[in-house]
Amino acid sequence: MEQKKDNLLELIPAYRRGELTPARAHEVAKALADDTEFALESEREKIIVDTLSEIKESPPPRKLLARAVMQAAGENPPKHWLSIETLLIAIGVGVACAAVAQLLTSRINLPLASELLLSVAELAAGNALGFYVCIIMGIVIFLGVGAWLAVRSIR
Amino acid sequence: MLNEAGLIRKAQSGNAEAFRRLVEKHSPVIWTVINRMTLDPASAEDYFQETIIRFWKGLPSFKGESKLSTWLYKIAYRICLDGIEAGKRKSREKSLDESLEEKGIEFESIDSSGEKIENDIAARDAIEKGLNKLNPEWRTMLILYYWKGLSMLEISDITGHPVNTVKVYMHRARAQLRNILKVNGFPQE
Repeated sequence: MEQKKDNLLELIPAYRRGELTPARAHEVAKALADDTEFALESEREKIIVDTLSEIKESPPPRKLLARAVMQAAGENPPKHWLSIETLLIAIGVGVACAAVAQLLTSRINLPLASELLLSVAELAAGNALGFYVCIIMGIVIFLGVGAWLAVRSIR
Repeated sequence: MLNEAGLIRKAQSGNAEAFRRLVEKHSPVIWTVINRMTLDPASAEDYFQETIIRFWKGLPSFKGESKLSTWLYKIAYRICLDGIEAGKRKSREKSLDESLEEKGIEFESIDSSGEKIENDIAARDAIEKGLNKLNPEWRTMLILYYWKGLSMLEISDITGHPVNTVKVYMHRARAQLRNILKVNGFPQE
């Protein structure tokens, strides 16, 4: 019996908002009319729910907020170890290390290597077009990096 | 103007400004919940700071499976509960008698001043006092449910208790509060 009353008591907020089915609403209305103690309990329940739902929000002191953010962000910033940045850095470091190793072991001749790269570009499209191919590739790379930076800043 | 998802992504990639904006947005609720849970301003400051630090550290692992606010409540709740438990352990070490007395107050006692509650304002005041006498977990569950409108499932996720346990605790908490009003003669028949 007590359990039934408790269950009905929990329905009171929904009953007041008119959200119950007609059968349920009738059950609650009957209990409110017939059982004085239940009606009193529902009044108490109402004041509890009202008090709780009207709790006032209070912001933390500005100094505390600033200190907390500064202290948190001063800690190691959260970064995903696997990201475009780390991938590019890894590739860059890898290529640089390989190049340094090649240079140190004198396996490559730097002036010769640059000449070789240029001549490969020239060969790719003939003497006249080689220059333009290099320019276009440069523009594409430049635009690509720009777009990537823009996307990053938007994110 | 970035929305919350955008700010989260930026903060996850280490953007402190985005993080600050997220903290500013959620801090009033977090601060209120922590204060209500601990009832001790000095501890509340420590717990708030700790919550913000864990928020920053945990950001990379936040997958957005729950709302950010729910995730923050979870962090704050856990920190407060650990702090309260640690405080209790310390006080138990100090004096066993004191601790037993405190436990009695926390779980059993009902505030009954013996004065009749004449109106709604007095009744609300009695509820506020009664809330402070409740077990901190029960108090927080009631606040999250009625004030923030969280579902039982969300509260279960935050507190780590099964939904049925949450229901039972909240039922008991409300019964205690109703009893406070009853013994003080509210409402007048």
